[in-house]
Amino acid sequence: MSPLLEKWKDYFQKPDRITRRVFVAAKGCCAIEVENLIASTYDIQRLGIDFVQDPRSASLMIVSGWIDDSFADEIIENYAYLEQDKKVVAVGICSVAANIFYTEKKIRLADLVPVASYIPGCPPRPEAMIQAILNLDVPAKKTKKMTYLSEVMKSNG
Amino acid sequence: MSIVKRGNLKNSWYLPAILSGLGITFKNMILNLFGKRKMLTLNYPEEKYEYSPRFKGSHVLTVKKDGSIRCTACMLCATNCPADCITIIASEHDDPSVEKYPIAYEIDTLRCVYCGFCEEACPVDAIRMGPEWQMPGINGANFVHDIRQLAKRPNLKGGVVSVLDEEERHKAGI
Repeated sequence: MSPLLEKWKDYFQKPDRITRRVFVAAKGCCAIEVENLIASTYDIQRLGIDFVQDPRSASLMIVSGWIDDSFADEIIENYAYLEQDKKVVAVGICSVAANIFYTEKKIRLADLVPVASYIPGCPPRPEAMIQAILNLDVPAKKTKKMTYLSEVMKSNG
Repeated sequence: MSIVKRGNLKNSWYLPAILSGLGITFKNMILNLFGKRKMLTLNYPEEKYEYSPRFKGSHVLTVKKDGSIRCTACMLCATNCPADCITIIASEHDDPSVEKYPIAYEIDTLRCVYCGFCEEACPVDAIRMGPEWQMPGINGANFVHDIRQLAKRPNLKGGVVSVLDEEERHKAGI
């Protein structure tokens, strides 16, 4: 490689971050934290991530808030409209586990669509959402499967 | 309803309005270039936000001065938890002055709402809400935190030592 190219090598390398257009289906009090992402303090447009209005031009969907029947239909419809390399991020425990603030039924987001990343918290910090979106590009580490006491106690009754 | 637009001398000249708008843009650009400390935007992966000391983050199990866990397995936090996310298994201790201690303490972070009721219920200052925010993870990551992660994770640098005096606690009968 010529010395000139070696000097400018960083500019020809493959970027470690992928540009993402995000469709936001946010509801409840986590929606306020999701809207903080494009506000001035955590400006995610400098990381190459932007919010769009149309699911047909987005490849990532952020879902937050409690899920009832009408919102479940909306999520399934919008997931079908997403671009290829579809990914869904679940924000907050309402959509992750449907734990205590559910309304009619306990519907988790993982029951409806495949979820790529979970963000626990009630509500989570905006940094956690940025970290989750950036970690989607990093290949997953293979971790050892652990057995937890809570699972053992559930199976034993 | 009809709107009548009457052109006067002030409206017909558009150039001063454009220049005044550009003036605001350049003023903010120069302020951000030379006064970086006053800039609102946080360069997140490089800079970190400074939280106040009362921030309710992920849980910390405090340790005694000899490094063992302070928790006495009284199950008050698991009873008070509205999200039902704490699992404790107690066992007898070899030391006769210690009644019992937890052999397993697990918190399911996907169910936890970070309300801080466990911290309020604890009589011996064994569990605290720490300064770190909740960590996200991809599907299949480790979300159920056990004792090793709650009390001895590397970010805590050897664990948080509680200042509660052991003798005073025994005198009060806790």
